[in-house]
Amino acid sequence: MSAERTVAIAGGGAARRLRALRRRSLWGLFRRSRPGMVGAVLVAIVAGVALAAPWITLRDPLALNPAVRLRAPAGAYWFGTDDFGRDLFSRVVYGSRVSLEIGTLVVLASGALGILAGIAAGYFRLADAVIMRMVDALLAIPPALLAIALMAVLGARVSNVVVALTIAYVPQLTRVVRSQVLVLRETMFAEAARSSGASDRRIAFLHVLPNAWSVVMIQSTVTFADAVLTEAGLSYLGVGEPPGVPSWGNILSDGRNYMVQAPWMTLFPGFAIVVCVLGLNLLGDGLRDVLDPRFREW
Amino acid sequence: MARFIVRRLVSVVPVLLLVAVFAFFLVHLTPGDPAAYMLGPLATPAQIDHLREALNLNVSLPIQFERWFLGALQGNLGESLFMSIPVPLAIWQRTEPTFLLTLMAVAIEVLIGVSAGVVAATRRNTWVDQLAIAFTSLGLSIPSFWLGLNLIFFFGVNLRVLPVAGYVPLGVSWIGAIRSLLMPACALGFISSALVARMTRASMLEVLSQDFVRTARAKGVAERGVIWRHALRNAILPVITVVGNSFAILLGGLVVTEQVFAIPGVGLLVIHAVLHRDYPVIQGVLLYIVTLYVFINVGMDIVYALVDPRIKFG
Repeated sequence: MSAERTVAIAGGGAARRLRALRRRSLWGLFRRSRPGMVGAVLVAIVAGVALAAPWITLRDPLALNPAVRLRAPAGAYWFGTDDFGRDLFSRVVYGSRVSLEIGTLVVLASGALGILAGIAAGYFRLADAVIMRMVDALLAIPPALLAIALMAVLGARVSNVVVALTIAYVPQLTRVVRSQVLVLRETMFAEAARSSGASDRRIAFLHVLPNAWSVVMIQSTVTFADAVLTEAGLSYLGVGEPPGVPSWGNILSDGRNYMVQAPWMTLFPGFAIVVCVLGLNLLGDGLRDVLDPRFREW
Repeated sequence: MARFIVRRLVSVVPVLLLVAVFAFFLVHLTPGDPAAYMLGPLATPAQIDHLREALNLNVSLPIQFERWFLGALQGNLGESLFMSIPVPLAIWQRTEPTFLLTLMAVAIEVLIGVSAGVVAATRRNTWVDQLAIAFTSLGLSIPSFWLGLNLIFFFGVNLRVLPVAGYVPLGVSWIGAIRSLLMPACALGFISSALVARMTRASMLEVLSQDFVRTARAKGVAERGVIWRHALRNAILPVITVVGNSFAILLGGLVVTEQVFAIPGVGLLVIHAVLHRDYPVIQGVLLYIVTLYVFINVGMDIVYALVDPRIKFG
């Protein structure tokens, strides 16, 4: 990885060629990882559905139509209807938007906070003591329980779900980043930058962070999967998004009273969650195969 | 050895202390007056004043914390606002099903995880290996409540072999208790088995390539004996730590699973507390579960050290 930087001084053209080569070889490695490819396809499907939601659904996910309540999947209603006669296909499709939006925001927020806290902890002894004690304490609380307790005080709102999940998942990222920083700050290229007079902050963000990026990517993918899963659990329990929001957990929660009459109400949102989370987890496995040299089998 | 145990126990103190601080400040994260927020819009000013008094909200924050914390150290976590009984009593009344459920779930987790891991390792890089690991990894991606609902639908409603929901106390019938917890324990055990399976596989692969395994084979031990007696015994050690860590998934999943199966345990208690804004109970359960989780992991570390003579105690 440090070779790339050395060449960058030699000449722009060579560096560009080397980067392209490296990217292609990483892609080549990734393509050979079966879990990674399956995961990427699943995630692409869910993301595609979320983006294309208005064009692939025929009805408003919130529109009530008591005349067609609890219809089995058939004809115009691919996934059937729920107890208010809402189109379940529309609701599940729009549910992917809710899940992916929340997941993305949680990953961005916990990523930013985790990187900053991890770098601070890796570089300053005082910050390390304070931050890592807090991280240890937060890690001692099961994330799902922590999120539930936070939702109890914050109140059921989409933005609060993001806040609660961010607090629940930021400690893991912080710890991962810190451990990377501790290793990377002692490497030759960090030493070289230091001896040429670069400040700690410059080394941390320009030399250490880019090399910790792969680990951040792997952890973020796993966090994304966990966040989607926990978010579904929160809204299933009635402490996540307010009722009516077409999130997968809410649809499942509506459906549990109709398990016998209308099993499709729980079947389809459940499958959607599994496809999305499984895709993210497999993608994480594939990224780990490619990016984490400890697990790479040549 | 004694020094190791003492040091490990001492390391727990700052963690529990910080979690206590967190639990205390949780109440103060509420928008506006916590007392008014807890009692809802229908409360009279007199009721709010009364609660403010009961929760020590009228004194300064450090003194509030001091009073609450000294109380908590003596096991006084306040009174449930909704049930009007002391919080420790409320938790104690709900402990039996939760304890039994956790125990059964761990047993199932280890059973699924270790056997899948061993099978995967012995048939390395075949479709059996991939299937075993994929199966347990599926557990990481299935919402425990959805798995629970499907189990209820299949075994409870269609086949009618297990009770659909609820809990039969041990005092009434221990068979009934186990039957009522079998489905939730399977759901919980399955979702947390993936980490155990992966660790077992990795550890087994390492052990299987060692000399003593070759010696065992050379002196004519049957392959089954080599794998399950010689190799697994040496490979199981790192798995112990993973089982300890997996309690984070188990104890967190408990809340949702108990709700799905209507099991009157600590998880259901916390859900009711959340829906009724019963903060003393939320604080109490939070401290209770974190304490359990932390000490389970300390226990696992000590077991690990006791079982493996190669670990040096410094």
